[in-house]
Amino acid sequence: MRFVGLRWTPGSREQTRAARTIAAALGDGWTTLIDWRGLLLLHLNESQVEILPHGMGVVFGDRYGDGPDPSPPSDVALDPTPGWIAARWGAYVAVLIDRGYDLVRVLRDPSGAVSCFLAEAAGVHLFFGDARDYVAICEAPAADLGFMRAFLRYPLYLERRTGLAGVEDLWPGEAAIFPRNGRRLDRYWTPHLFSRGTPKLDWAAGRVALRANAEEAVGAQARRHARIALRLSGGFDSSLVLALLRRTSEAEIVCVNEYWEGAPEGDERAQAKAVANVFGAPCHDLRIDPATVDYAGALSAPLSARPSLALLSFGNPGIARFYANLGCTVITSGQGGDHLFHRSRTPWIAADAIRDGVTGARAMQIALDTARLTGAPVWDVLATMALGAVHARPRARHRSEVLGVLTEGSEAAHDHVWEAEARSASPARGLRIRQLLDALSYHDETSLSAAAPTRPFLLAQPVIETCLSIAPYVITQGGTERALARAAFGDLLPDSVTRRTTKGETTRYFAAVLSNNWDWIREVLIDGRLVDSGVADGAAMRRALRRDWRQDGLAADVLYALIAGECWLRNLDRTISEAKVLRTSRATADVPADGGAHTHQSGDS
Amino acid sequence: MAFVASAKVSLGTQAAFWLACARASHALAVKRLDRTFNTLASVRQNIGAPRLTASAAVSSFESLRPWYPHKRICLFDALALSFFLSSQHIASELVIGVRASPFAAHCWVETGGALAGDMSDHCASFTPIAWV
Repeated sequence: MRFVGLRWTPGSREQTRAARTIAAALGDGWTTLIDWRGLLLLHLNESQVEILPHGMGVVFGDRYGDGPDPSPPSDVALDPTPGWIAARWGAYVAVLIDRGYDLVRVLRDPSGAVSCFLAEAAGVHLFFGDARDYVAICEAPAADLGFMRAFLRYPLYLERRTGLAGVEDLWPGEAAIFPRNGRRLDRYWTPHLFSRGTPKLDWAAGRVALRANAEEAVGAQARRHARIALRLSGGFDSSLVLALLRRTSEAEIVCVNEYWEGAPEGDERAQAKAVANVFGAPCHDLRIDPATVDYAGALSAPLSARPSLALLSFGNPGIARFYANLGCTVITSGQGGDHLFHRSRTPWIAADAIRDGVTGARAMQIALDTARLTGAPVWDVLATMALGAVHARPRARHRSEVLGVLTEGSEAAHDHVWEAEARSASPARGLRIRQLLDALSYHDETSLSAAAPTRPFLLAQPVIETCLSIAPYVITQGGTERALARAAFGDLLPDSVTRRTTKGETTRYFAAVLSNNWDWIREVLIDGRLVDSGVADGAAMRRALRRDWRQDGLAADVLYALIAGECWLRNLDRTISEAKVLRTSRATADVPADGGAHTHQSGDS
Repeated sequence: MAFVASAKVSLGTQAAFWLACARASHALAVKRLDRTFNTLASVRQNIGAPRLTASAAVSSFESLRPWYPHKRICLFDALALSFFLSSQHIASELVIGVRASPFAAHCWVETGGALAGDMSDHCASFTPIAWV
């Protein structure tokens, strides 16, 4: 989402001048949405914008639920943000303005579908949605190498810092508050709000609530589109999305099954076709051949604020072309189902029952169910329950040694508030919060984003809140993963889908891709930017790349992180160079520094 | 303890389950699969009239399985199920399959040409190389 906000002390001439200079550096194509008392809000015309009435603010992205309040409070200092989060949801960043108290609130929606970053330049506070715009306006952008080290250890790593030095992440459900001077951060929504305390929904109530909220979430998103592409594997989650799309919208649905016959365990064409037939939707087979994947394509990906494994998707531009030719306005999938419906198979699920005060026969039944779910002996589950009773918890998540290539150096710490809350939650709920944190990666920009916005419809606030309100041992009741979801939607889906508990495997596909790209991987990683910047040791990198990664899944995972990190650093260099060239050419053309290049749409200074 | 949670499974079946699991544990402990396979083959030679249907036997095995203190590992479970099915006079085959790049191996049990206690789409990606 391309928006940039600048906030400075109203009346400060120096800061006003700095803000105008920064805005001018953005270049052409930007529209001024608000220019009022130390707030300048711009967006690139490709972004979706909702202008709120009475100058209350602007929403970037898709917002659902209640409409804007009819009039803003003016006689008392009311914070509208909790009301916003309770009554509205979607994939958005909202800029809410309290004109009476000269206060600007920038709220990122709890699903985290739209990015928002914070920075400061020349005394002016910045908030923006796209890293390229920060590079365009920043005098000397640089990589945060401490963050890079943390990323390589755990590629789904999220915390306040980003890959760009001086740029911070606004967390989902958090608002940046800008009074006349300074800035503070307030948290309005976290997963822990819904998962702590006594379980709010039992099996029966959970079934009803999950069904109602999933229908509302998928239906509301689908009704904004006339033609929707669905990545259909034929597994439970993507089939569920298809069923809900059919039930709640009139949109034309085009299913696509991505397959490679070289790994039969990942070839789900038959299942996808069968499900699509049940719902009368066309299903295209899209062959993804590892031989055509060229990771060098990741070097031309648009710059993001932090490296991401999604960069590797740019190695296969053919997929994006295929989706672009479908003419759909959104691409969705069943992504998020694993995280919401508790696919995680761990004995700690039963420990949560003990923490909730469950005893006797019910506790024993949960132990047996959990043993069946996890494949662990019931004795191991009972031992884990005993550990849970004394407030022991699972080990913290694995952090890779990165094949020993990292040099000594400071490393960003885990400080995401969800991570901290996961540590204080009951064991299985803590794991679920971590999984939700991992699911935020589904909102990363991929090569498909060029074809149409990618939106995992299930990862919507109403569904997230409902699932968090159901105890993990209730969601997996009976010893079946997704048990509650299977019960809630069983009547919508073919029996074959409701019964299926396996997934297509992609290990061999990605091993083949790595194999085909091996020469290029060695070339970019040995003496690459990671080595050059001192994050990785050159000799250690050479040794690591001599290792046989094909029989070592962990080594392959590390390779993905190294490739993504290397490509991201090179993309940053490229983007900085391009920005410099643009700045130079604009200076030559003598563009006025007062933002004269902008189209003025609704400024109300 | 097992009979407490599995009242529908007869004591004889429960005893057969524990014995089958113990034999599988022993086979893995001594690391002589060749001998175990020979034993399994000889046990099968004495198969009489089935005591249960194949599906009922597999269902009984699955309901009792959480009580045996051994994690689910395909080789252990396939051996234990094979011994158990033999004890119930049900013909079965233990199948070993492999796949390459990266190498992986799996084993499972088939009765009457159908899978017993495993997921078909998981096993389908392995090329069978041995039937016991």
